[in-house]
Amino acid sequence: MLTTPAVSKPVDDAEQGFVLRDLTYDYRRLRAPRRRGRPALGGVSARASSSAVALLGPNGAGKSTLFRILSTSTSASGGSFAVAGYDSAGSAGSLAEYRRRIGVVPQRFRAPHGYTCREVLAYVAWLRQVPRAAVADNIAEALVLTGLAEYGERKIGTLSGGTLQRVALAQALVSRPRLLLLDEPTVGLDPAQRESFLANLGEVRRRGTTTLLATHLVEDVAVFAHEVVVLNEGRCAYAGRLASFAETADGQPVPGAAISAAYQRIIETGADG
Amino acid sequence: MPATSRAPLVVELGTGAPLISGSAAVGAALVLGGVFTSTDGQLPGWADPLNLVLTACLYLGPLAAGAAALQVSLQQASGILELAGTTPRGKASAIRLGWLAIASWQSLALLVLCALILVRSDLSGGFSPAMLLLPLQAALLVSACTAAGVAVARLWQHHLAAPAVAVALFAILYLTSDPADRLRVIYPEIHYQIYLEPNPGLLSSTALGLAFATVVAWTGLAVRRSRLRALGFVIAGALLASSVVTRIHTDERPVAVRRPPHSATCYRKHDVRLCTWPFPSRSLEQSLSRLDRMHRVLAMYDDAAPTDFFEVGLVSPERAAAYDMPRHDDLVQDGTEEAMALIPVPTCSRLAVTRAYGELVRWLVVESSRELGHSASAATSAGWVVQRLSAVRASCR
Repeated sequence: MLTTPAVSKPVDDAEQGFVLRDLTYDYRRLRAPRRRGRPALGGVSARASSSAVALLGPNGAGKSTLFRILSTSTSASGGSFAVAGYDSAGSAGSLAEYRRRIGVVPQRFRAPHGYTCREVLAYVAWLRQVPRAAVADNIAEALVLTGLAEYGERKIGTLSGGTLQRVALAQALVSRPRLLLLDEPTVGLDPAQRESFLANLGEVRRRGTTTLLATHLVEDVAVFAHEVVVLNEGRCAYAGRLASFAETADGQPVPGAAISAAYQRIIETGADG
Repeated sequence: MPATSRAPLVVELGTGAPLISGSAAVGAALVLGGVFTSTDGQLPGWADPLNLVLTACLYLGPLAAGAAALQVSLQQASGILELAGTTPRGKASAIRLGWLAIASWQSLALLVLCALILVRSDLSGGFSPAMLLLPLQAALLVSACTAAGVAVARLWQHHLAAPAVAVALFAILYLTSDPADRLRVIYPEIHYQIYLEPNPGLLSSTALGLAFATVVAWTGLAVRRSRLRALGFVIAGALLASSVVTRIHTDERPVAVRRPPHSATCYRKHDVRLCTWPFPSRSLEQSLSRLDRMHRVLAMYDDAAPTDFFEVGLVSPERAAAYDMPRHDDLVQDGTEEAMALIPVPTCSRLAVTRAYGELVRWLVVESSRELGHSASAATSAGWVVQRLSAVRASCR
C-alpha cells in the first residue's frame, strides 16, 4: 500500500503540495534525556501534489514535529523539504521569503487577552512583513473569510473557544499565504464549531491556498482533504490520493467510515506495512 | 473602506504587562518624587535633582526588570513567540517589541520623576551640560535592567523568573550602594559627591560598551540552540564590552570636579576663613567651629598651619586646604574632613609618608576633641608631630 515515491533529486517547483526527503528529527540533538529513544521522525519521505493535504496519524506519530519543521519553528536533524517554491536544501527560495508565504495555525492558539481581534491580526501582519498599505485590506478580508467581520473590535479574552480558533485561522490568512499549515485546529471544538471551522477552511482552499492539515480526526480528513499522508511511529506509512487510501472511486465523496477503516488497517500493520 | 489598525507598538504600549507595569512605574515615580524625595541640603542648580533621578533607579530598575521578564514570560506562555518563530521577523522582533514597550513606559516614569524633582528643587544655580548625563545614565540603567529581565526570562522559563530577577537586581543595587545610607529612600550624593560630576567621555564609552553587549546578547538569544550557548553569548558580550571600555579609558577618573554655580562666599571665625559654595547648609557653623578648634591645636606645633580653606569644587580635591564640607546635618561628623584639610597633603606616595599623614589626621581628630589646655599628650608629643609634619612635607628623593 505504501506509495511513497523515491525522490532522488531536488524538486525545484513545489507550487502545490510538497515534497519531503528523508526528514529526520532526533531529540538527542536537543540534549533532552527524558525524550531519548526513537527519533520523532525517522526518515520521512513523501510527495503530495494537491492543494488540500491531510497529515494523519495517532498521537506521538510525529505530526506535530513535521508540522513544526514545515512551519520553520524548528529545523530537521536531517533531510529536506520543498514547498511553496522553497527548498530547505537551499536549491530554491530564501527562508525569509518562505516565511512570508506561509500562514500557521498552531494547535492551541492563544493571544494576549487585552488585544482585539483586529490588533492580533495587525500584529501578525507586522510579523509577516505585510506591506503597510495592504494591512487594513488583508485584515478585513481575513475577518470576512472566517466569519469574524463583526468581531474585529472584540477583545480576545471575551471570545469562545470556537471563535478564538477562527481568529487563529484569520491571523494565518492575514498575509494571504500560498501555504496554510494547520496543526490539529479542531481539537477541543464542539461539532457545530468544528463544522463552521471546516467550512471556513473549505472557502480558503477554494481560493487557491495550498493547505496542510495535521490531524488525528479522520472526520476532518473526509470533509477537507484530497490527499493524505499517514505517519506512524515517526515514519511515513502512506502518502497518496484520499480515494486510493480509502479504496473508493476517484471523484466521489469519501465516507468517513472508509477512511477510518483504512487508517486503522495501516496503523495496525505498522510503519512498514 | 477597511478600518485602520493601530501600529503594533502602540497596541503593545496600551495593553497587558507594559500598560500595567508602566502605570505602576509612573505611580512609583510620582510617589518617590513627590513624597519620599527630600530636597533639603541640595545645592542650587540642576546637579543634585538630576542625581536624585539616578538614585531612584534603585527602585525603578528592578521594577523595570521584573516587568520585562513578565512580558517575555507571557509572550512565551501565550504561544506568540512560537508563532513569531515561523515569521520573517522571528522571535527576536516580537521580544524586542515587548521590550521597547516596557522600556518606553519606564523612561516615561523617569521623565515624570525628573520633572517632579526639578519642580520641587531650587534651580537658580549654575548648570553643567555634563549633568544632563545623569538622567541619561538613569535611562540607560533602567533599559539595561529591562534587557536583563528579558535575558533571564528567555533563559529561565519559569513563573518565578519575573519576581526573581526584580529581587536579585534590587539586592545588587542595594548592596553596592553606600552602607551608611542604604535605608534612606532617596538622597543626594549616592553616585556623585556634590563637587563632582560625570565624566562625559567615560560615560559615553560605557554606554557604547553597554550597547555593544546588548547587541551581542540579543544575537545570542536570537540564534540560540541551547541555554548554555546563549549564556555564553551574554557573558562574552559583557566581557568584550568591559574590556573595550577599560581599554579606551584606562586611568581615566570616573568623575570630574564640578564647576561652581556661583562665585565663592567666605565666612570667618577667629583666625580661620572658609570659602564655600553659595547657600551653605546649616552645618556651616559646626564646620567652621571644628576647623577653628583644629587649627588652634595644630598651630601649637606648626607655624605654617593653613588658615584659609576652600570647599572642594572651588579648588580641586587634591589641593592644600581643600575642604569637603559635610552637607547633611543628620550625619555624625568625626572631624576627619577638617583634619584632612589642615594637614598638608603629601606629595610623596611612599608608604612611610602616607602612614605619617594618616597618623597625623587621626591624632588631630583625637587631640582637637579634648578641651584645649588640658591635653595630656600635647607637651610630650611635640617631637612626634613635628617629625611627621616634616615627613609629609618632604618630597621623594
